[in-house]
Amino acid sequence: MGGQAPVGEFEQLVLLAVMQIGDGAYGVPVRREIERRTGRDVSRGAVYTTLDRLEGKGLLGSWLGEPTPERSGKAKRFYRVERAGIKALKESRTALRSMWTGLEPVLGEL
Amino acid sequence: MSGSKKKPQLAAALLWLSLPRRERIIVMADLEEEYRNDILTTLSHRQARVWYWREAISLMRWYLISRIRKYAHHDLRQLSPSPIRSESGTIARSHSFIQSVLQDIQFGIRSLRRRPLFTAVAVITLGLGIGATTTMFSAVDGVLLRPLSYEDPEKLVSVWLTHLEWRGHPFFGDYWDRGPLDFSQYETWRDATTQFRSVAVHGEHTMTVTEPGEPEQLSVGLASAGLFQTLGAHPLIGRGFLPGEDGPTAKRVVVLSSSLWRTRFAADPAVLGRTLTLDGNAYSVVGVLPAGFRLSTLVLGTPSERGDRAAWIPIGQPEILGGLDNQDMEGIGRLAPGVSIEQARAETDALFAGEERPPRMGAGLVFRKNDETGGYSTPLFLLLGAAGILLLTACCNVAMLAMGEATGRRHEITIRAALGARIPRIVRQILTESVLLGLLGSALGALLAFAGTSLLVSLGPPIPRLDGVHMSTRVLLFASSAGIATGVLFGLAPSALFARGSAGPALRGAGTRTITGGHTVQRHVVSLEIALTAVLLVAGGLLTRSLANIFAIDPGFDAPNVATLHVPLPESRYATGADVSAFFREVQQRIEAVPGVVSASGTAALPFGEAFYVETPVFLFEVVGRESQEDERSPQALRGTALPHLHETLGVPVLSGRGFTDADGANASRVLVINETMARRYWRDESPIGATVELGNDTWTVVGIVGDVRHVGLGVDVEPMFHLPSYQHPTHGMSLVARTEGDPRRLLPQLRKAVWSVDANVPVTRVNTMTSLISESGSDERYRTLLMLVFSITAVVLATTGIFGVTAQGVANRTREMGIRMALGARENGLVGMVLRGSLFTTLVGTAIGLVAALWATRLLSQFLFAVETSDPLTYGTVALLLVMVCLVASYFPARRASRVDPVEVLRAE
Repeated sequence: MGGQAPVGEFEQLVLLAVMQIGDGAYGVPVRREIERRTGRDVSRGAVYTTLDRLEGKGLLGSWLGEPTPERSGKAKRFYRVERAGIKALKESRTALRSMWTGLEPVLGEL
Repeated sequence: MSGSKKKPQLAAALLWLSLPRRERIIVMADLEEEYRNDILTTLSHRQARVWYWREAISLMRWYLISRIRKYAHHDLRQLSPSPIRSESGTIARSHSFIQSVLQDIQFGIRSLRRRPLFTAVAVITLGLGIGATTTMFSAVDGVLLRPLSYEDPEKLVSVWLTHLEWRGHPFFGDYWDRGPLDFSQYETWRDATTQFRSVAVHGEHTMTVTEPGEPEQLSVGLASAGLFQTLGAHPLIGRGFLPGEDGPTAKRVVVLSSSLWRTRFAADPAVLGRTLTLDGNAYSVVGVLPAGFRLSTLVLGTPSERGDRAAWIPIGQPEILGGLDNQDMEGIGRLAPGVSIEQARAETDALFAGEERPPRMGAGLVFRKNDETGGYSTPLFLLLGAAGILLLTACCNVAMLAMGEATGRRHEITIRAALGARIPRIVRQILTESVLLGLLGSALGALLAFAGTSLLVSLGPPIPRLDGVHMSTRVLLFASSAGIATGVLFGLAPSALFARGSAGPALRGAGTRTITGGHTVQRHVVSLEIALTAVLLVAGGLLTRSLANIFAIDPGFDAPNVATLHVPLPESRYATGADVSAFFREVQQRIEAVPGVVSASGTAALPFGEAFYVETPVFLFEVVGRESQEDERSPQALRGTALPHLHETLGVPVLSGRGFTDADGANASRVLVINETMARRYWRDESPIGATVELGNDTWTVVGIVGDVRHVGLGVDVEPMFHLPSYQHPTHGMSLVARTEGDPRRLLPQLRKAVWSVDANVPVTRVNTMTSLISESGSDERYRTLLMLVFSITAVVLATTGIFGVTAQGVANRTREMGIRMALGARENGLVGMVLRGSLFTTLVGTAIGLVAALWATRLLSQFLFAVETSDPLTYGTVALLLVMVCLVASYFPARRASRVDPVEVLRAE
């Protein structure tokens, strides 16, 4: 476990979405990315709370971008996955993979 | 980006408040970006706003819930005896009160959600009561209580000319008491008064504006020089009228209303000195009034007039009604400091009486505010009272629900107390729940009041100043507090009582669930509720009966299939009586030639016409050859004029003699036709036909008696009235009537065209049918009745839920007793009967109290009732029967449930 609390399922989705987007990941595209890939409706509030929590855990880093007119001159908060975040994702995957092992005949390949 | 594409500001503000400070800016900016880039570009502006609201609400909910969760989490940690406490103890303690309140709220919400039926009933009940009371109070507040929009309105007084001889007469008294002033009376008053700080007269006249802009008929105010100063109105630009600008040498100057200034002068700030052409004369603009300035004329028959004037000109313009002599002016004065209305009345009385001894004329002084709201204060206060009763009924219901819940929850409370929960905390928990319930009820009440107030205004009953009515926040607060307090009081009382005692007896009792005491109180409350409902029902029933009686009255003529339109001929172009007669003779022929018109005529005194009293003066007359008694009032009657065949066209029966024909021309012998009441009152058993009557300086011969026609309302008594032939006594304002084949509405455009085919430049107004005029005449009564019925039906619904609730509760509490009774051989029907008898008793007690109370309370209604006694047995009987039926229906279902109790289950639980 590496002394780090495991990340929850939605936290994983958010981390992965931030990575998928790469440059320019902030609230709006993160939510859209998750909705697009999973087909679920994602609550806006949940995305912001989770981004905040992941940053608090040190899994995400953030910085403020340039203000733009369509945001009434307010800046965006951009996110990127920190090394600890990547580690946490890998640990989750390892945990999942080992749990799946042997169940392929029932559940199919991971 | 245009300004109209902005996000909904309210939603944004609410969201701003509910977001945590740290995330506020980012979250809002993200939302705005999406709104502008994606939503506004694909959806309509309206849909986009809906989208924004939905997203904002979802975010608010999310953060509210997560915050509550966070605090609740803290609180649990604080309560648990683990070392975590020492880590966060200080922070947790400083928040502990807020946290526990939040926890109470969360718990309350959950507890209410677990009992959706109870919650819904309580919220709807409170909402209805609060909504009705707030709506009615808003009307009372706006119409009666809010001061007039003039400076220091308490000092403004209407001044009328009174004919002392007729003071207090039930019909003519009103007429003679509110006489308009003429210019010389105004001058006398103005020059001699010491009790008024300033005085003024005003009037109204319809004029045609031609420049600048399109020709249009406008309502123009006539003002004496001191009017604006008296009212305390300060022109926005320029000035009012100067002394000397009014009167016999009136100048052509005009003060514009704010709206006319905007529509016809494009709000030109340099408008002073420009001209406005009214009835062909150029008036020079000297001032502009502020927006919202109004002054209504209050002369009889124009109660709903709002007092909007497009412009003001000085009184005394020679073109208007022939100058000063004919002008009807209403006096208005501002009392001098420290002067009472009685002192002012004494002075004005003496001024108007003049040298005559004994005086015939006097002054009638009424506070302007009372004058404007006239006869509307009593019905409005009555309806407010009815709404108050409804609120009481709602409070009864909430009290009952709360009591039922509180008794039911004794068990829960006992256990929580036994497990160590502190009593204040339990009490606070219940309190929180009641307040939550109250707030929800108030929110619904506010919505209903909001809708109700707009509905009230849009139904547009003829009540002055109704258009200024807004929802009253004060009352909403009052009514909400009443609702919440009731809930708290009755919800808390049993638990508080219990909390003082020890847990032992209740714990023991809780097992067997024997509940005493509470249920008796509940039954009393139901009785009270039914009594209140009975009062409302009786009031509603009496008004309905009265309304039915009014509309069952025969108006005295054949109203269906009669169209009517009013033509006020301009005196400037139709100067002589011969011109006027020629015009209407031609118009009558053209209208009769319209296909579908059976016959046509006209009168200056249209029954149910909107200005009947204004256009139908009361005339004193003498019967030639009859000795007049010294102490007797001179005979008087309403005077109308008629074109040939008026009575035949309207379908008024000619009882004796004849109606008018084309032969009654200007040079024929002077004749008049009188109504039945006039014949009976002034000739008794003699025949009036052939009698000669002296009117002014002329003598006229009675040639016919026609049936009575109601003048202004079906429920208003018919007074003596006579008609003169229009050709012998031409009047400029005439209402034309046409009897048609089929629906008269279809012919209205052709009728208007027929008038314009004679002269395209005369105004045609008040285009209507007689049927709808009659129907409008009863709109006051209908409106009152409708509101009262809405209130009483709502009360019935509340009472029904009340009876249902208390019976169901009673049955639930007596499950064990029922089981034992059944085990001992009681029949199902017997049990149902037992329950029904119980609630029937409660209902009968309530009904009896209510009917007695109604007997007393409805005396206040008597002045609004027509041909119904306030003790009308039919109404009372129906109400009693209705309430008994409501009771039986509402308690039948709980009673059925009682009879289905399984005795085995009950005994096993023992």
